[in-house]
Amino acid sequence: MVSSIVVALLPQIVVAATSIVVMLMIAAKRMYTPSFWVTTTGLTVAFVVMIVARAAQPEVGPVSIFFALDGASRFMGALVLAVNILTALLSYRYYRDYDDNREEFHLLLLLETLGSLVLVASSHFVSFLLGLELLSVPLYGLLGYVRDRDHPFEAATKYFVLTAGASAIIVFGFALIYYQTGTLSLPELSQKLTTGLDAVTAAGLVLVLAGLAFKLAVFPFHMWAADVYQGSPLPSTAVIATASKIAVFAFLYRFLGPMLHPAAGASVLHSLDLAITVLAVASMLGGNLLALRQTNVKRLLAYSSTANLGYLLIPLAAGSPQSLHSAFFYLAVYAAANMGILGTLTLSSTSASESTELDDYTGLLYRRPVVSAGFILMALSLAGLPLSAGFFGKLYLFEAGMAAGRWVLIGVFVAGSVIGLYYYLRLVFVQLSRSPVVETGTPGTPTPTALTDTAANPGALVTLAVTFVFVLGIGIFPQQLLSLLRTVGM
Amino acid sequence: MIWIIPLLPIAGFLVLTVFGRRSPWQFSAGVGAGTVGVSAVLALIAGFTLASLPAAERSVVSSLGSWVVIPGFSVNFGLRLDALSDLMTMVVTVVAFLIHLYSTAFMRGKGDYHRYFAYLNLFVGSMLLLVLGSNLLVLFVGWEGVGLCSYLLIGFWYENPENGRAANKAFIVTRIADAALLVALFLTVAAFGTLDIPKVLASASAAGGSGIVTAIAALLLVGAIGKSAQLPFQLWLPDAMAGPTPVSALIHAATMVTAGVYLVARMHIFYALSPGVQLAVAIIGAATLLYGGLSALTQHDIKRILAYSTISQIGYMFLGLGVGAWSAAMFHFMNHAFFKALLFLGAGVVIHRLNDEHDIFRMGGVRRTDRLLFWLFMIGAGALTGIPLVTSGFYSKEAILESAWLYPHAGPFFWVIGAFGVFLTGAYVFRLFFHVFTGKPKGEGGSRPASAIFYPPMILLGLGAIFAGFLRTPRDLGNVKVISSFLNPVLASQGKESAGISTEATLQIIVAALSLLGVLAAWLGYRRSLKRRGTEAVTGHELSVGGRFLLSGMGADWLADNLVVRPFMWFAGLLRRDWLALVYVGVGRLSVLFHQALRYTQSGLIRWYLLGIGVGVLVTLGMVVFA
Amino acid sequence: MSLVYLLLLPFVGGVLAAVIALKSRTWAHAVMMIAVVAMGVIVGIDFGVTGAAMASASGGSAAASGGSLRYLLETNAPWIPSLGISFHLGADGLTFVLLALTVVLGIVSLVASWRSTREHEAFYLLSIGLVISGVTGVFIAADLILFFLFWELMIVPMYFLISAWGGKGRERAAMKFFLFTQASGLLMLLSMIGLYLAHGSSTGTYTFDLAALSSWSSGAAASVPMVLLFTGFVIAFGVKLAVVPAHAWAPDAYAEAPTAGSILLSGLLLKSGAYGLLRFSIALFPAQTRQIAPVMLILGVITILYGGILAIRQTDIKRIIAYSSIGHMGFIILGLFSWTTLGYTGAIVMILSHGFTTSALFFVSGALEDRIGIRDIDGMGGLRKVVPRLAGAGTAFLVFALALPGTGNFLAEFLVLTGTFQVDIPIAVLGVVGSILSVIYALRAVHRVFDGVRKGEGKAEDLRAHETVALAALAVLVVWIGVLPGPVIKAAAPDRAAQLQTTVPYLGQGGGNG
Repeated sequence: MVSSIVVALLPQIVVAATSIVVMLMIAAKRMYTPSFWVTTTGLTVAFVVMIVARAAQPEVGPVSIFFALDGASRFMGALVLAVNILTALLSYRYYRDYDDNREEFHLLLLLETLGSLVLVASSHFVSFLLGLELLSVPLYGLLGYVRDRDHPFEAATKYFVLTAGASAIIVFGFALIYYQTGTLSLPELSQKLTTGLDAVTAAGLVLVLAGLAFKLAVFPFHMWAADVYQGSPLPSTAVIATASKIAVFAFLYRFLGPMLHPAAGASVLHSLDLAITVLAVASMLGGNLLALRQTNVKRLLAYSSTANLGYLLIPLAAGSPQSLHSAFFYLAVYAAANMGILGTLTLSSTSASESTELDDYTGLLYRRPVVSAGFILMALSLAGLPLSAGFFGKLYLFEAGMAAGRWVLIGVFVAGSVIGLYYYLRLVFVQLSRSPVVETGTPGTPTPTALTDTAANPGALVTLAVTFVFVLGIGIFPQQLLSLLRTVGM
Repeated sequence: MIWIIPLLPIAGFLVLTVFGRRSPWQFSAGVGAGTVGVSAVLALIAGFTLASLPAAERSVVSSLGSWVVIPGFSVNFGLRLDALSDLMTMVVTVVAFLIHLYSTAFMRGKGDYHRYFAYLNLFVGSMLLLVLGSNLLVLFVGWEGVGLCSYLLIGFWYENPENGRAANKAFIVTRIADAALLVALFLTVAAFGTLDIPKVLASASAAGGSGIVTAIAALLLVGAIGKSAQLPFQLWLPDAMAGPTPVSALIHAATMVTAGVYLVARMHIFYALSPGVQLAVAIIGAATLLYGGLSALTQHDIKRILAYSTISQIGYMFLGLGVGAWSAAMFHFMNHAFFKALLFLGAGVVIHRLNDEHDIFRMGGVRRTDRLLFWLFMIGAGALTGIPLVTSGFYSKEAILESAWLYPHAGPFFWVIGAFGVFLTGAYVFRLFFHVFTGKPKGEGGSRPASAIFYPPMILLGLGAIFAGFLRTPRDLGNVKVISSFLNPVLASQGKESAGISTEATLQIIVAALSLLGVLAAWLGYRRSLKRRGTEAVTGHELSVGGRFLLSGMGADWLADNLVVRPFMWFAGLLRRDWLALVYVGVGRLSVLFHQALRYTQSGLIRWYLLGIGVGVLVTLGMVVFA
Repeated sequence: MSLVYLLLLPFVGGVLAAVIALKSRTWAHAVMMIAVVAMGVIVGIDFGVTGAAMASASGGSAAASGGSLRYLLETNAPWIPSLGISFHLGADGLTFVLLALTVVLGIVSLVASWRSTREHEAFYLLSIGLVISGVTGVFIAADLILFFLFWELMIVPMYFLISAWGGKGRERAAMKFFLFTQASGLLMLLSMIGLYLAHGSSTGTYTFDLAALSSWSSGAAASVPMVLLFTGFVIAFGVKLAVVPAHAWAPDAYAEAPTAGSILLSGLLLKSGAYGLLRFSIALFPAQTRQIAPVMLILGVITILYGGILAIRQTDIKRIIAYSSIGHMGFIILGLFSWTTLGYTGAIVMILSHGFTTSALFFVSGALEDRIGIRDIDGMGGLRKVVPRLAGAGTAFLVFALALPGTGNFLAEFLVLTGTFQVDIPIAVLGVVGSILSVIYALRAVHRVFDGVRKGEGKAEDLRAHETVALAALAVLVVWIGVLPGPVIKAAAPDRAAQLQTTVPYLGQGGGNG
């Protein structure tokens, strides 16, 4: 019994252990490269273990009341680990020439990973709160890590203040729920709610929903996202764009999924359903419209994340097991594309200066065809064009939504995607455009700064390569991932 | 065998377009004239073999195989040689050949020699397809082909934009009329399920007069008057002389404008079945022959006079068709082909000699420099007028007018118009003749030498213009019936044959007198103008209001311009910005507007963001708690 | 299997050419050309091999098999079983006809881009290869999702072509083009999924396979949801065909795209829309086609008239061609939705002859732009003297475009309108009016561009040999389609004819040979 728990929790344990090791290393002697290797290895091991463990014992029921180590948590855990590994790779060259303490970054990253892992598996409010704080607190550090530029500090502060508020809302929400139902475990809660839903519990649910919506930057809780994305150093942006989103969304699903399941109590279904739908619609429209004319890639990604989370609320509202799969599929694909783009940005950025303006990438295709091809593929994947994983992501979401007959949501989804095309294509267009002008250096056109030299950030290149293979591979042969997800339950 | 006749000129066209540019002028001339010549010979042979057959089987069909085969509908490349198409074929090929011959000399040194002959061959080829086609689709191919070639040849000298404009006018006006013809084709398919002319005619006469038949007849008529430049589609013809003069000869005599006459004759059963439409044919014919005759009176461009005279003469043919004198109309077509070709070629020589002078008031005394031309032109003018007994024009017009008299609906009225037309004809054509040929040479009289090749074709045409008439003479004058009996199997004439010898004779005498009176009037007018103006030229302004009105073709162009062309182009210009497309621009603008509105919320201020969160919480709370 | 080669050849050729282009652009073009020609050879062989089979297969059996498709050549492999998507390629007579068109226009577009040198040859050739692959895929896809996939795939490289080598307004044009096709494409995707779900819920097997869906839905009665599903398809195809009022993207795209782009766009991408309509309306929604026919007929004739009128007063020569081709697409709509054998055949003939004519016109206008550097006809005039051969070609194809009898355009318009006439007389008559409009703009263009005397000192190079040959070949093809449409009709039409309405004469015995 114990052994099985240990095996099941091994990934989390590995990450925790690694973080301790790194901490001790820093205490002993600051060594950037070694600590980087330790971190990466630790994460990779955890990743492998996660997969092996999954193979070893496909389904472990609720290990304790705190953790549900089921397929979903493992899939999401693996995803979290993957993106964090890539983030670690990104960060290496980025911070190499940073003339201040660099090693703590890895520590924070590990802690954040641990928090995310806890979050995706938590089936109880206590473990959830633990995971959430374990995720958020390191994030403050990560976001403001580069101290000699003032944007990161601003980002960190904003995130800190707002997220503190959000956490407070969540806690209050759970307090209400506990006051009414007397339970903090999610399975019991959804059990109790099948009988009916009173105003107080409803309020509690909504408060929790609102708090999570804030973390996911769902409209209208999205406002912080753009500033934080833009202000924070690129690797931290990667974390907040992928890992934290995955973790929180996984919990959201675990929290509301059962209640939105057709089998759930009608009243719950009805009231929550309305809220989710409205939030989804608002996000899809608001996010896309906000991103429409963005000229800064990071801000653009921030707004598009709002839109995409809106899309991801559709399967939640549809509430069938199949829709769960479509949601996870989309989340994985979305995370990969984001990682790819952020990787491309990191290629020509360091802690000292980042090139994240759209114009920096003018004519990239002709300067660095390979990199540009990757960038373009990611953009097209976000736009949901075929031969990129994004296409099947959208297809799957469409199918889930339509099967559940959520026509309003699907309609807005289409509208949103069309608006989205506009700015995703601008990403493509700048790379194709005005190349002759740039080559002849005609004045009046902004000369691009990004990737003009051949200096390469190997970590970023690896990231780009991995995401490229993933997006293209899933784009052509999605079957593997699909059948893998078939086995994922919650 | 029949197919060779139209395909030869078309082959010539292809050869000339491909190799013409790089080859010497003799090659172009040889191919151009040669192909048409050979098909002329073949046509004549075919004609006589056909004539030798018994009347019953005077129709040969040959098909090059199927064109379109669709369940429920099929068309093949069928040609049909019967009396009617054969007559047309012979006239077209022979006249066209003579014009080609003439052109070989006329077009020397005027540039783009091979292009000219290529177009000319295509022109003849299309016309032959038109007349020989055994189904309406093949006919329509020829029909449009003729239109195209007229367009190409009218605009042949492209460096003067005016010519281009005239060419466009010709094509567009005729094409508008062709639209009706096209609809007629659709209706035919819908009604009879086939386009094969004999079948259609058979089923039509089987079905008897009906709304559909009438509709088809009317639509065909619109197409016909378009090509034949009858009112109100006459607009294009006067401008059409922008092309080289031999082309005008071809257009006016053999190919283009007679197509309409042929079409009506070809589909005559439809008109026999719908008297209303047939009356319309007669009315249009009568109106047009007056219009043409009057407008020709005050023109001073030699070719314009001839152009209006063509309009008027085709009017005669339509009158003939309208009154059911099918064979008479075709008879007049044949004669007209000869003398009109002769007149245009003669005009060409005149213009050539007088250094491209077109204004008859700046001409004169050509008789002294070119006696042969003087006589030939006189024959032409005489035939056009219908000088009694000696000219073909007399016999054919007489035939038409006789049937007009016998026409049950207001026959005498039509006869009067026709007779008056004869007078007009004499007046305008001899006005031209006297101004050009008599008197003393005017202007910078430097007379360009004319090529010897000009004359043989004109002489042959002159002979035609005289002797063709004797193929059909009225009963009181020998009663020859070659033409009518030849055409009879196809065009059984309708209505009663004769109004009694005495009436006929009196009518003939009146007409003959009118023609001579016309010539006399022309002479008097000529003397007067000489007295009044002496030698210097006249321009439109010196004419009376009425004269100017006639000079402008009764303001037809002005009307068309202001009633149709201008409003339409204005409308097109109105739409040109593609307003419908701007709707989408609006949608785009709108979303950008929303974008900017939302951007305001992104103020970067924490309190502002907190407010957002607060609002969000309240809204969701509200939805859940009070839902 | 050879269908897969058809799919791969242009793509692989493009990649190779891209690699070679870094060394020598001539060889790169040659390689690309070889790839396309080889594709043509394969198409020819396949058709030759399967032609006999078809000849025997066509006829009565079609009537029996209702809406279900009979492929002459098939490749089927499981792809995404859990979503019911299979890698299913199939080709029938219609497909082969369109593949032939693809090959021809592919070659033409290469010839057109041979002369003018440009930046980044490699990427250019790669894009062209991708476009051709995409179009081929659209024509041979036998699975809805596969179809959609190629449908989008041909858009992306075209977007590259426009936005990288386009004219001044290329960003707007490319964006418009993409947004329109994508937005409508998403609607089509929804319809596909809807069909998939409907079929699945009624039969229990969830599949996107065209044949399976066809045999089910062609039998299904005309119901409201089915009409909605069909509308999704129709919108996508209508936008691609630039049917008014969804035409807004076309003029810009045509005008701004590089010559080869315009050729592929008007000759092939549009036709993919037409193909989609022909294919899906017959295979999936026969009943629904007739249900929405009245609306579509009106839209079709509006398109004809609108395109014609707008073409008259344009001054940008490429825009004239653009609007004229918009007008011509209206005839395809009429032809199909008249739901008659005549109309259907006419639509197919129109697809081919319009493809040849319009691409030739874009070829000519591109050549003009190369030589005198402008597209505005006000700056032209008198060019017949300067570049006689080019002028001849321009005149010829503009005259073809106005549906001169003897050309495919005429035959197409005649068949379409004759078919339409049997269903709706006013519409057919208005269609004839439309053909008058085409005369006006065509002649006006010829007059303004070629007639008169060249303003200023006009010296320009006339058509080169290879350009002349290409244009001559196109001219021959246009006439050939117009004079001997037999093979095309035989190949493309008969197995459809079964469901279509044939001519029933009001009076007379009819039906006979003419």
